[in-house]
Amino acid sequence: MIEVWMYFFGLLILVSALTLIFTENLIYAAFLLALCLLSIAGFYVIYNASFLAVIQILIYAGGILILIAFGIMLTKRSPEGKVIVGYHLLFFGFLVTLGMALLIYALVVSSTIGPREILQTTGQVREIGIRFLTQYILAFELIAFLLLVVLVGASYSGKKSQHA
Amino acid sequence: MLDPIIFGLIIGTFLFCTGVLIVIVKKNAIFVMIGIELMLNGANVNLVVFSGSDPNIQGQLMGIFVVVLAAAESVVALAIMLNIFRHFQTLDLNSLKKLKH
Repeated sequence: MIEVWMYFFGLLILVSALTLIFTENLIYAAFLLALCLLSIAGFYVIYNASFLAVIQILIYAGGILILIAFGIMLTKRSPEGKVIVGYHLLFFGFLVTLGMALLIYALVVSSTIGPREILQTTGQVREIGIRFLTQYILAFELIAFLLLVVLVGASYSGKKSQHA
Repeated sequence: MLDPIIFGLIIGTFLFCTGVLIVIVKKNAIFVMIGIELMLNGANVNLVVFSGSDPNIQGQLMGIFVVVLAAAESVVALAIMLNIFRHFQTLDLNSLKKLKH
């Protein structure tokens, strides 16, 4: 049964990301990104990372997606009234990406990881909280400081221009 | 029937490569930001897949840091994009050539 869900979410990720390449509508792109991120959250649940799945839904689907929609609404129209969409460097881009995909795919398939079973543990939130405040305390504090800097920097550079 | 670890790694690879393709190919700066989000998610999927068979969930902890960094990155990128749009009246990456005005 869990394999069925795994393939289902994998297929959803595949379809939404591929459609994201070929769509030219920014609003569709935002909703496709939402679908992609939510299916990735489902994927995380299957791989025993339910706390990260909740974080993914809260921060990505709740925060970043709203930010992107906000950006789309604020920057959509140019003065001539047309939205800039379209492609450049098509041949080069497909070449580079295909080469990279084949390289990583060959690496994954030829790896000697071997079949391992996915654990299904409970009580992860307790474990994560303990680790954040003991083993990873430096990284935790640093990232809190980084968030403060980002808050100040974004509100400073986002206000109306200082000159003119 | 694929091994779940290999399947997860393939999905992560696919997401990363899709993100790279979108970053290279699209003209609009907001699409480029969406591509960067996809790349970060591909890296995160890899971490989570390896953490799935690990009793002390280190990959998941690293994934939480990645999510926070992605949020910070998108906030700053959006503020910069709003400023660029206010200044140049466009987000077409090909027409943003001047560094000073």
